[in-house]
Amino acid sequence: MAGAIYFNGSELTGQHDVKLNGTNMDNVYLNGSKIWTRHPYTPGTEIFTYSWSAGGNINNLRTTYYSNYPLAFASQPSYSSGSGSPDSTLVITLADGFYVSYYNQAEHGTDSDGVGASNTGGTYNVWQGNTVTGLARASGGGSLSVAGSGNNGSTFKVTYSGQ
Amino acid sequence: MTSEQIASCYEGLCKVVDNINAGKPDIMTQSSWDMHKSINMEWLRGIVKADFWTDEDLTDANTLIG
Repeated sequence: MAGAIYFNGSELTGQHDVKLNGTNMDNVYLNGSKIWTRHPYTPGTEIFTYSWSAGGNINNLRTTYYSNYPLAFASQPSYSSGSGSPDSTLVITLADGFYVSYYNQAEHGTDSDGVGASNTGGTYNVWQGNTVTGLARASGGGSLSVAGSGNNGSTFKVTYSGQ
Repeated sequence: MTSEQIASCYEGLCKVVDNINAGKPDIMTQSSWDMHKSINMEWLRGIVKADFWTDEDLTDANTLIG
């Protein structure tokens, strides 16, 4: 987020922490420069969990999840191949401050570092095959510790880090 | 990463190498296999460069990715 305000040594976090005459502030400016932006969620808030099965359809991630959690995405997810059913790859880019906090692939297990590739933003490929599924870090640095394609279903969680 | 996490990651890496070397399962379509292999080869290229490996034998993975 754009800067932080400290009060008695503690960072003001969460939603609507700063008030002026009793009114919650969304942004705070100093000499024309934005020095603080309120968090849309309390840092650490789990925003959504997405699970999909081999041979299924992932289009609701592009439509329903994007519609329900627009702040978590930098833009609407789009396909690099297919249109939701096998074989499809949906490219999702998370907004700054949002990250993949959990990834489980039925064959390969759970991302073991608990943070994934990063704790803010990044682009991922959500993969849907006829017998396999998976999630892979496409850009933004690092990689998940669990392979991006394996038998049966997958699940990932997106959490707000505020960073 | 803890030693347990590294061990888990190494187990996954070995499984991916074995799966790719085994070739396409009959149940999988060719298009799915092509994408599946491509995704996991890309993952292998990244994960072998991770800085958490200690004395794990990455020879087979490095041979596979060339």
